[in-house]
Amino acid sequence: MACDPDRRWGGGEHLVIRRLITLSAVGVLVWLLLRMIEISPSSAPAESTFMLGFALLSAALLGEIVEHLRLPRITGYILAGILFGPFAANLLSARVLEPLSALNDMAFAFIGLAAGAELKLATLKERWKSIVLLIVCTATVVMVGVGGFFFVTASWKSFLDDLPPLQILAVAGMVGVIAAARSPSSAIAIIDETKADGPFTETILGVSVAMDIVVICLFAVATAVAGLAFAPEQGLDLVFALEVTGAIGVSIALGVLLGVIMGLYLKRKGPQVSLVIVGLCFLVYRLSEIAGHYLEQNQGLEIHLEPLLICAAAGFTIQNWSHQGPRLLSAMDWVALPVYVVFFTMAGARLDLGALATSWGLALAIAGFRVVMIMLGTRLATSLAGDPEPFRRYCWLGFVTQAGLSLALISQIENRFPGWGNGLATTLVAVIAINQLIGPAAFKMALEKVGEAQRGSPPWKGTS
Amino acid sequence: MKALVAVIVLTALALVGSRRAFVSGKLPFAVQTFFTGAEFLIIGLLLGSDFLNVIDDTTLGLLRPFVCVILGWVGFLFGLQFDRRTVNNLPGGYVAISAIEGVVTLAAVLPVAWYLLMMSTNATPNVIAIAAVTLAASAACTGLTALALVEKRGRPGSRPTTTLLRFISSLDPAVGVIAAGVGLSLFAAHPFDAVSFPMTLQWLVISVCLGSVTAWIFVSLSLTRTSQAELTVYLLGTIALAGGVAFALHLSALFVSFVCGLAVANLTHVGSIRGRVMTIMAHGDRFLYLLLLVLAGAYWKLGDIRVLLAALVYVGVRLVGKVAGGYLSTRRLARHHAVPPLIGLGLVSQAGMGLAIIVELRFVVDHPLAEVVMSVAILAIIINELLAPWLATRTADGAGGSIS
Repeated sequence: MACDPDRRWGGGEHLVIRRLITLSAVGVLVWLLLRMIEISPSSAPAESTFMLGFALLSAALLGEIVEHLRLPRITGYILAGILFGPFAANLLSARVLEPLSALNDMAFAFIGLAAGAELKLATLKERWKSIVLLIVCTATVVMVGVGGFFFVTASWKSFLDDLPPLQILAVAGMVGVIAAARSPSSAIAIIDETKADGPFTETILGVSVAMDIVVICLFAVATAVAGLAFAPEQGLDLVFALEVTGAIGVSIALGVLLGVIMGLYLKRKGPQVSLVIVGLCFLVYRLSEIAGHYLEQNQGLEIHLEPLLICAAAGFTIQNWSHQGPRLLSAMDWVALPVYVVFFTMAGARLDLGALATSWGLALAIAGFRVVMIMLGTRLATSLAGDPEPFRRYCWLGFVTQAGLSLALISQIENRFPGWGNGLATTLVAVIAINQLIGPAAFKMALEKVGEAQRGSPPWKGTS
Repeated sequence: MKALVAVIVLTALALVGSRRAFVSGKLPFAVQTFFTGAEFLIIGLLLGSDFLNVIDDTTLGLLRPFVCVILGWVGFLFGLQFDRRTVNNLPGGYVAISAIEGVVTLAAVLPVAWYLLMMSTNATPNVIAIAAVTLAASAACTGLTALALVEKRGRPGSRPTTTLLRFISSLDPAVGVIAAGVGLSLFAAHPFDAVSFPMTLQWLVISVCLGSVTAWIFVSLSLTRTSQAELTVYLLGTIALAGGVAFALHLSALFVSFVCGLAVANLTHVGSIRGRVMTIMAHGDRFLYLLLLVLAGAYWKLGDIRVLLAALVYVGVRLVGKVAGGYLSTRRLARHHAVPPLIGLGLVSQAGMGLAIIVELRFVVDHPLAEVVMSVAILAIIINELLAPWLATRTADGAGGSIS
């Protein structure tokens, strides 16, 4: 009985075939069931539950399959979401996804906590020069470059036809800011998957998390400027910019407070740490939403607390000031993979392939130009910082992915500027879809190239 | 906002409970008997819509997918224990003793429950049949909490009897789970019409097939080298799939997941898989069970005095069934060993699987009778949990000699 299971199944190719057979079996089972079951409001929770099971299994299977193609597993999860989502097989339909949105929200905050907990102050201090330069250089080059590209090619976009150049410039400013956004969630998932560790990994993660804050601030400024360009009679909307800055400050303060409390809980060896973390992440997301609604309705303030930032600050506090970082990371390990599978599968299912289909040409052009700008920006920053050559060569690969924050900013444009905002959103969502598909693979490749991915470790050694 | 508060309260209760419950070792025995887990049912009741309304009907509706997964988890974990290698290593006749005891209790409660429900309600025969089968299925199950209290006292003379009681309590819920599977197959066949046995059999076969197919999927995934994290994903996926499909078809998630767990335990040739799965499941076991208790309490509607009377009758009939079942099943063993004739008195505890079966009925069958059945059963479970430690102690202390 003690034979090597991999040998029994005949190694890599057989494993892929076996996984494909299992995936097909799961797909057929669910397809047959959906034909057997008459979905009524009372059976909707049951449908969501078994579709959650299906999503977990199919995404994990696809993750394993793409791993054999040397792609990161999260690409498999995203692909599962796309394949079974509303734009393809429609098994993970909008009706199914809606009751599961709480899981998605929790996962978003969880990833923030994981990102914060991975940031070690000692390493950041060593790498501060590179981090600051990367933030400044890439943000500037990408914003100016992509914004400029958008402005120059404005005639390609029918939704901007009626706008004067000044207003197009304002729109280009917002596009530039969105192009600078990264995806800490994808970064942390890839780091977790590859068990990567080292200065390159910490720098990329540190930049990704910090860039979120920078982008939020810059977006507030860009939106205020755009508001002035579109409605000069109302003057510069400084209140909005102040609200955004305030929200960031409050989010970080709340995160530190949460970190202190969680640190005490960990120190006192409280029970069920993994479940507490999951519960807290869910609470942080929901309470942020509720607080935002309350402030907007009762105080007229548009202060939207950032759950990702709150949790990242909490994770950072625990890691660096409570001595409980290892315990936190070990507890998170137990639940991390299911969380990533759910989050990225749902992200894949929510990818608007309709938008990609309608504006793929323009989206591809913007995505391509953005990558070129990231290459330039990172090359400049790493040269100024005096980083070693592999770092200079592969750094840009870590900054391609875009996800949650970019989508949230796009929806703000849609809400604030109805009309051309919808057309712009369609194009930018398509850009993000492209970046989300290619970004994880690029980052994994970078980690392998610089030698920080622990590829040699046996797969079963991971979390326990 | 209300749902959020409810979730916070539920999580906090389960967290505090998972550390404090069942371990009140320093308290006097009489006090400990009040803390066998049944207190969480009362807390749930107080938080429910009949009292504080913290966990209202809307919140309970939102938590349905979660309850679905909990029940799947309970069924899977229970099925996983029936690994043929482990079962074969049990002392001779213990499986048969447990099965006979469970079936006798089921047979004792079923006709009485059926008759009383026929006489007291105007529900259709099929709904009455489902309710009666579920009450009997729940009655067949024995909980372990009271026994844990007895064992904690650690009187050396009582050990052989407590060991036998522990084996029976661990195994006899299988009778209840299978009966619950039959009961909900009745419902899947014809929700509110006449009883149809061929159709019931068909749905029972479908339940077994579903459990087997999901088990095959899990085994096929876990046979290759997988990390603990991957195994967790596969486990959660399988449980959610099996439990969700069962509920979508109005079948028993407990039964389908039980079959799935049973098949996984017996299909895996790599010995460590079962152990690894058990390790993962042990992490959330107590937390989820406490959540189930509080949620069951929140689902519970108190009703009137008739519910209390029905519960007392149910407790009485079940006690008769347990005593008769215990006596009949241990007769062969008693020829060679000292087995107390009233060993059934040590099997009164009903929490655990007995409660899960009742929650499942309430969850699947959208009928007023399911609400009444739940009220009767929960009241009975509380009474049984209060009686169980005393009766189990008496049974264990009254026995002598060696059994195993």
